[in-house]
Amino acid sequence: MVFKLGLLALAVALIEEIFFRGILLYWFRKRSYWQQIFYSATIFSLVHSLNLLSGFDIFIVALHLFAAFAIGTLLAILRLKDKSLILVIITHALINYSDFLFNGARGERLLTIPMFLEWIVPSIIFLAWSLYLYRKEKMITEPES
Amino acid sequence: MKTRIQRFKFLNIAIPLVYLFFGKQMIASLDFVTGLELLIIYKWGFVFLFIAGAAHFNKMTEIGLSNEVNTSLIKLYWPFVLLITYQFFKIAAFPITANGF
Repeated sequence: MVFKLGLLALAVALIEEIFFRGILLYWFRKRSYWQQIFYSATIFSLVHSLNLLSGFDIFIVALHLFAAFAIGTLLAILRLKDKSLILVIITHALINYSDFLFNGARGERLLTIPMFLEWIVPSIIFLAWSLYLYRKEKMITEPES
Repeated sequence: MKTRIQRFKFLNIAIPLVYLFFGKQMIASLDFVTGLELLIIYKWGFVFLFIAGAAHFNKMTEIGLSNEVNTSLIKLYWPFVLLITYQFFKIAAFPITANGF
């Protein structure tokens, strides 16, 4: 089961990274950096609203959307700094894998305060780090004019 | 006059869309896998479609699949390292059960 979840986590990471940080960022390459990052992260976040169909509480879905936006923002910035998708794919796969094992094992469908903190604190850190990287560090991939 | 590739260009959107909506049913109809295995095969089918499409349209470099990894950037991933480490430590406190994953 643990091996199968690993295979699933890797496949999901490959699909999402190729689409959101590969194809979408390529489609938006003529736009400014913040537009590329914002569009990619927003679409990535909205796709996670499909979790509503899995029977999750609406507050958990809202939290998922915020966390997905924060993760999507940071991954998009990191992708724009690197020409390769490999590091973001590995990171995404590990996040998925730990999430499948941890949250899948708990199987909670209603929002609790510890769960709220476990999602909101990393999300704020991701957004703060994204803002720092966006302002301080130079992007490697230059937008096309 | 349209070339053969231009004429069939709609397939690069049509094939993933057909697979997205009907792929799981198509695999399930073969009756050799169910449940989690079916989901894994369906997802890996999507990966194959994306990579084959990128290779066919010579976009492997543009979407970042065939570029060299810049390992000096690993240090920028520290927030993710913290999150993943925390999650794996928590897994020890919530062992996997037969009811869960």
